Amino acid sequence: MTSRPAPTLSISPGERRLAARCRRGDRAALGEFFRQYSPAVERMVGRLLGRSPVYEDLVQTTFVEAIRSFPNFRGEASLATWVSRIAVHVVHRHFREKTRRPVALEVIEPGAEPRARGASPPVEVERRLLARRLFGVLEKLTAKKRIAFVLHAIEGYSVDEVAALMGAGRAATRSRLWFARREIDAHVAADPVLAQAALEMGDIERDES
Amino acid sequence: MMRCERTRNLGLHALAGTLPEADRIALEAHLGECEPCRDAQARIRLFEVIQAEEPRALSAQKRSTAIERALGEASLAPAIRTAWLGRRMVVLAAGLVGVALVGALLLGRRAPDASPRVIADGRDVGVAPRARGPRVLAFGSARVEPSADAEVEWSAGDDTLTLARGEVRVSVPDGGSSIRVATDRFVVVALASRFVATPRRVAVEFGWARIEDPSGREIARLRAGEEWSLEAEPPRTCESCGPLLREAASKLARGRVEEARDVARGVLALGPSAAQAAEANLLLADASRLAGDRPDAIRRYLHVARTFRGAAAENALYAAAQLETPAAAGLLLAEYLRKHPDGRFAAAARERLEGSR
Repeated sequence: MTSRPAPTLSISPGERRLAARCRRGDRAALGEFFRQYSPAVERMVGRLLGRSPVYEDLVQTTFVEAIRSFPNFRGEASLATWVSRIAVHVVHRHFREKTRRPVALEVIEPGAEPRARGASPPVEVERRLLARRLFGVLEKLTAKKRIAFVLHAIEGYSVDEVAALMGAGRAATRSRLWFARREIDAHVAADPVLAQAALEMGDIERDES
Repeated sequence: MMRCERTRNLGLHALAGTLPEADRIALEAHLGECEPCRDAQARIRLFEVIQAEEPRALSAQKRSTAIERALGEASLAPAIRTAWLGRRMVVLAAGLVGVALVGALLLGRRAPDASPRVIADGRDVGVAPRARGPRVLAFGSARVEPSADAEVEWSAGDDTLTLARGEVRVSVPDGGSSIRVATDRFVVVALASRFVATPRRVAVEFGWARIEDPSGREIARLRAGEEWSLEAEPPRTCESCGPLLREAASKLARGRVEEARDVARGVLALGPSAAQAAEANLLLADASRLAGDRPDAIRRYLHVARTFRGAAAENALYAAAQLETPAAAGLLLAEYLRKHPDGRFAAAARERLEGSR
């Protein structure tokens, strides 16, 4: 698993000062805040969303929501946790709306065409196809179960951290994870490609042991 | 069976890397003797493929763009615009503008305004003069090509491109996203089509488009090769709407919110003119405010501000700013001043913005 920043629940004096300036709408402070926490937001949105054309749009929406929400920031969690929670909320809302969100306006320079990527090695292609199929399985879950599963199983947040990020109770989070795991297992077993991949993975493990 | 269920749950926590050592030993012991659980564990472990993927991240330039766009909503400072467009484009734009100005001075005449004006989500992003070929704006799969004299405003929240002047050619490929192009008199709704629109005319080149009045009522439906213009459309009138709007306002003034809402909705159902539709929507927003539903009131005020023109739109934008949180209010006040620099609330808006800095 690629490591994610460890969550910090308490707010440092430096963060408190930065938050106070942001709350007043200080543009320099907001800029500093975004530059510092943008990687965490990008990671969170990217993990929850998977390959999606609305990725940049949702990252930016998280920033805008953060600007709007600063007056409500009470310093009960670190800024990283707080902005991650906003990112989770933004992605959750996106899943629930089930509607396409427009990608932000951009200017295309005349003659500018998407660059062709070099051919990927077969293994890499297979891995990507498998990942895409797995994201297809995640899309079959409800928004809450999907988010809980990704935060816990993919990002490695503890159940308590997932509960805090989703604004839910511990029991509800455990329940979401339990149902998510069961549903995912059923979907994977029913998908011939994924079922075969799981069998091969099991065989490799048996051979290795 | 209970043991299997518990084991499979432990398997999930093992995948997450949050499994205590004692549970890990119990899990492995069970997997050693239970084939169905081994298979289930292999299925859940497939997600290691996603774990192993490098998390998505924006490039430094895109990150900077996203940050500046978000900040840009807080004010329209030139420095932000500069960053958003990218230094190269600004240098190019500045160079071309400089050449144009010098040329104009030498020739003794004013430099022509050869660039469309583009506002995205309340922020003037401008577009540099055309260097070569047509300039295309994109969102999702839709492509919008504004004429040199065009003035357009993009609102991401409702997928609407407002066309104040000039002409736009819009292409929405099959399977792409829909788009609304709004003028002060009508709205074009298109999916899988290509069309040209001006504030008075729409011509469909491919696919189809629907023309609606600002209240959402369909006026016309055009297929490829067909054209529609305001001249061909008799101005919409609704004689009973005026008295009904006064009645709704009167009910609202007396605190009879639900009755006022019913009357305002009735006006919208009667096919009002654009001004009447704006007024009815404004009354619905006022009703939400009086009922204490702040989010709905803001949403309705912003709908009026961004769909209609005139006094109703101006009032609605300022009303939304009054209801928003201080940071978001700053964005709306800046939008108000940009749209209505001499508006009836301009002085108050400037005062509030100054006070918040």
